[in-house]
Amino acid sequence: MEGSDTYPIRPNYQRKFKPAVVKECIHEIVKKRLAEAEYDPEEASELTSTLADCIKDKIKSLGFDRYKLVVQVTIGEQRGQGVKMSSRCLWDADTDNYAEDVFMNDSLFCAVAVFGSYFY
Amino acid sequence: MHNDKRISMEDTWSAAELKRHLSRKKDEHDRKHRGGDSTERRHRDPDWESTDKHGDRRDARNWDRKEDRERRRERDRQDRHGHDSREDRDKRKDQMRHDKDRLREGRDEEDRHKRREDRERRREERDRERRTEQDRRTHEEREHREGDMDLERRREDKERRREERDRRTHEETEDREGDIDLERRREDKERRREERDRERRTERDRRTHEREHKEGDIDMERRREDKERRREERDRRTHEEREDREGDIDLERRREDKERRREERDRERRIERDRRTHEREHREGDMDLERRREDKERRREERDRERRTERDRRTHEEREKREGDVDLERRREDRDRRERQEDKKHSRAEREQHRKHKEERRDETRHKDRRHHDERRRRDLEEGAEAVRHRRGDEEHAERDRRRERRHREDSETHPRDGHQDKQSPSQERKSVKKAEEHVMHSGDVAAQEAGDAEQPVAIDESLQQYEDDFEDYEEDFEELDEKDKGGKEEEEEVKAIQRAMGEENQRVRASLSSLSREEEEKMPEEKSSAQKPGRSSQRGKFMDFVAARQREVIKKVSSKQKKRSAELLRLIDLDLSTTMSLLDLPPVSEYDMYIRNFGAANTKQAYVQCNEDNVDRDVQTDEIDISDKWTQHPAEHCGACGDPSGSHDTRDMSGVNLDSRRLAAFLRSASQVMVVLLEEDHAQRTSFKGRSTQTDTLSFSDGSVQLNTKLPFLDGRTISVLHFSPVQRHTLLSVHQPASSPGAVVQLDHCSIICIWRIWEPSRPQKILLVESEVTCCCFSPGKSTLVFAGTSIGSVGLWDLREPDGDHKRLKVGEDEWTFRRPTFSTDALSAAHFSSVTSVEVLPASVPGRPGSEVPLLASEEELLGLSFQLASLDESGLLNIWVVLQLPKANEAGSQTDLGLRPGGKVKLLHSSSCVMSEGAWPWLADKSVPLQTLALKFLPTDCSHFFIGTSMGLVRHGTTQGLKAPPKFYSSQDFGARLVDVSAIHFSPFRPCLFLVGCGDGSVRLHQVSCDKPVTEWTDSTAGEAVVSLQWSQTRPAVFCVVDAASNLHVWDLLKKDSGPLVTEHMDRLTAMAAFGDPGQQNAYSGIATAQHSGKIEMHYFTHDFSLPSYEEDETLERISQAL
Repeated sequence: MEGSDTYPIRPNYQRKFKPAVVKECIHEIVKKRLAEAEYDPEEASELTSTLADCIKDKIKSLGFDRYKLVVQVTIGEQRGQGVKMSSRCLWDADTDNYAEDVFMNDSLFCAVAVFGSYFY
Repeated sequence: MHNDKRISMEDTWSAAELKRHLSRKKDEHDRKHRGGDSTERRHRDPDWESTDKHGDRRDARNWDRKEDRERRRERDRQDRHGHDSREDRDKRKDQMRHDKDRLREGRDEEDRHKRREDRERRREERDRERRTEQDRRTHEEREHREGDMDLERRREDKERRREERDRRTHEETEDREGDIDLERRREDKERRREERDRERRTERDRRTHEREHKEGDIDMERRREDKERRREERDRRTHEEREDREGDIDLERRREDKERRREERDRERRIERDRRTHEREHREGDMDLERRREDKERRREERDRERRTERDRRTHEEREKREGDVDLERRREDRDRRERQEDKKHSRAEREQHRKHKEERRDETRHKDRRHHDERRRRDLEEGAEAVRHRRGDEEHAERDRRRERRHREDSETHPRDGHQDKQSPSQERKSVKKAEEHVMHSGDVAAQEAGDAEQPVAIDESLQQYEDDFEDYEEDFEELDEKDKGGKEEEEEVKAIQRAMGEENQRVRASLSSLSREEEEKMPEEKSSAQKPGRSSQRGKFMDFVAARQREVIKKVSSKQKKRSAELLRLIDLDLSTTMSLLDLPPVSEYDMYIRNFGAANTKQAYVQCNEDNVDRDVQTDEIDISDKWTQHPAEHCGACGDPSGSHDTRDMSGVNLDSRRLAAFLRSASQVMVVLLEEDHAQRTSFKGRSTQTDTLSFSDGSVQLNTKLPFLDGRTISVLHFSPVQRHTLLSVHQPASSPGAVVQLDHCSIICIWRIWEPSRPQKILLVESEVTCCCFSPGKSTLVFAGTSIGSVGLWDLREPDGDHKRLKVGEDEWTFRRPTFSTDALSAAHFSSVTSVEVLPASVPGRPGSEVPLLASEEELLGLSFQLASLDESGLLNIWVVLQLPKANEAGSQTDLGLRPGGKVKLLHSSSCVMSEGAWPWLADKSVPLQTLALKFLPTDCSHFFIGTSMGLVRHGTTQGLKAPPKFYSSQDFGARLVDVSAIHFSPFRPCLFLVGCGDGSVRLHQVSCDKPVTEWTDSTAGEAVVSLQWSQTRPAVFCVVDAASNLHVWDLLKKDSGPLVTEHMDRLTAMAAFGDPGQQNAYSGIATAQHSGKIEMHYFTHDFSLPSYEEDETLERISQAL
């Protein structure tokens, strides 16, 4: 080992990605934004991106240092169809985590998943 | 010359020949198909060898065909008569194959000649063509120029254009430089070949020796390999570029290569042959070369044309697609414009710059190549002057390839070959014309190039480029030579394998070098519009070469750093694959839920539910409670110990009441009688006053009268024979109605006598009705209570009725509106042997032997009855003087079935008569009657009321016999009148005085009435003329006054005697209407005593006359008077 570099391979506990907090955060935003929303295929893409940005900014403000965030927002029309979403990750389970929240109203469903990946 | 001849021959085919040719062609086709090789497949066949072979064969076939044709023609000519041209198909085929084989060798020689010719010709044509090309290309320019342009400038333009063209063609391919090199080398090769040809023509032997010498040289070998590699690369590139569409072309090109190689091989062979017969074949080889060159030229022309169109197309596409890249676009547009409008000066400067840029870049990217080829370049420098011209040749070389390709395509399409040839022939001529010009231009070009180089500040770059190109050309030249040197196919294959390997190596090296700089471009590698890529990359390459290099360095550094970092980190951390995280699982909504969600809530609300929830049925399973008030009394004296105040008697407990029905019935009977009597009395008293008032006028002694209602239907028409009052119950009266003389209302009763029992207080109807079959002559009541009635009939029987029997036991008949009960006798003496055989004249009840005063009878009777019961004696007397004494017996129990012993007893009867004794009055006792032959008739019987053993019988002799039942002798035996003893006169009535039982009155048929005393046989008083001689029918003492008696004579006169007032005769005599019977009634004992007489008239009417007070109220002196009368005797 000629490299004398040191890497913080574990985040500070206070700075660790906390799914519960994030989930609450997501829930708050989504609920606020989508409570009265009607599904509109034209606006859905725009909405998802704005939502994702909003959530990302909010989570950034929570202070998870050295975390790379991936926010995935899926909005679909609710017409009684069955939907199944799932994800798999190859990551360091000690540091990385995810939070997800699902919001539904009469016309749409919105699934938000936030993946936090620690940057060593 | 063969060629000429062949062409001419082909031009002038006869119809027959054409036909033959076509049929043969067809055969060939068939054969091909039989071989199982379709053209398509052959084209696509990855095995180049086979395709090449096919191509060879085809080409050869083409050649064969021509020559074959020629030969056949010759042969035909030779043995026109001996042989049929269409002998045998197989045979011909074999021959053809043989010919082919044979001809291939011959053809090679021919080819060699031809090609040499061709080559020369082609060079000429190329020049010419080049000029025409230029002319065509710069058509517009030239129009503007008006031909005053000098050659140099034209050449420069050409050069520049060629450069651009080259560049563009290079840009087409991924490996730009290689392509250009290739092209250039090819040009060089071409050029060199020309030169070589020229040289060859002049000093062929020397050159062949040299070449042989050079073959051993490694350098040469390498160069050749390089060339081969490049060619392969080009092939690959073209293959990549024209993936599907141009796959065929690729194939064709490869075939072309092959062909070319074969040509070269041929050339080599030719050279060898040349070596052997160089002198002889000198001219032919020239011709061959010339011809080949011509071909080449032609092909190049076509290819050039094709490429231009291609280029145009590409630029078009580029323009469309890449509008963003304005700069580049404009530049290219400018370039185009420049080309067309010939904006000379401006364009030249810019183009120079362009070239400079290009060369710079080329410098950079190809430093390696340069390094490799330093040596070669140095040598190339010597030939630098020729470079420009060579470069032009490059274009032509490409064009040649294209043309060859097209020709192949045309072949594959079975294009008529002659047409093609026709087209080609004029162009060949034209080219040959142009060739001369081209030579001039070449020289001019060189000069111009040199001048341009001097002018340019960066001429060295250009020259380097040129050198490189030259070198490549040179290389190709060598290669060509090598190829020519090559002996056979095996060698070729070997070479090819090496080439391939080399190409791959080269590619790798180049890729590693160019990858960084071309990263952006490679992001879209699959773009088909290959013109785009070269244009852009060339531009970029010019501007960003240094920056890119620097960037590359930086990136390399950074990436290596990151690599190291990641390597270190990966050692520290473990990555793991997380389990599948379900982000959303939304199950499909069922159809019903969907419906409810869409329509359930929309515009509707649930107002009612039809579940019938409110329809509740209430039911209690217990019985209702009955509530009632009850009372009780502590000492339960009464049978009803409890009861309720509401007075519901139904619930009262009656079980405790013992009913004595017999006593109740007795009580009710007596009570009802009392009640009835009281009611009747009320009624009678009220009506009697009226009756009295009405009746007083008619009868002097009467105080009024009551008429009994005898106007009953069954009594109608009957005469009343007897009236009789009960001695104890003085208000009870019976009347005997004789059988009806005329038919009455009730027919079955007509022959019967009817006895009616009345109560004087109930005159409206009789109490009881008794029925007797025969005529009743006499009747009497039982002593005491008048419950029994006895009656004697004219047929000698004595009947007995028990009035206590209930009505139900007797026959009831409905007569008129009412129902009447007719009682048959309870007992009858008809069946008894002791009965009378003559008409019964009198029945009398023997009085109880209790001495007593008549006045006190009533209380005694009650006690008597209680003591004796109903047992008393009855005497009956018939006309013959037989006196029967009967005992009345009451049976203790009634027998409903009837008695077998007592035949006279009716069923259910309880009273019967039992014969006790009988005595005959006629024998011995009648002394006076012995002499008289007249039979004595006993007419009336009376018993002494005080002693029942003494009886007095009235006879038909005017005498009354006195007798006793025990046979004892009694002092006067006979009672006779005063004057006469016995005389023939009937004693019709005897009646004892109720007040003085020793006195009795006797009425006689002669109208005399005698008053006798029992102890004396002579009368006390005798009234002989009182009735005026009329017979006495009935004689009765008054019941209330002892001195008054009533006599009814046969003349219906009623005489009333009152001994107090008048003892000589009757006091009152009243004439009545046809009286049949009379009876006196009255109750002396009572205060309100009444007395009267009942009379029955012939009409059946019964009247009851009440005596006035004078006759009814007794007085004191009456007893004295009677005493005095009796004393007087």
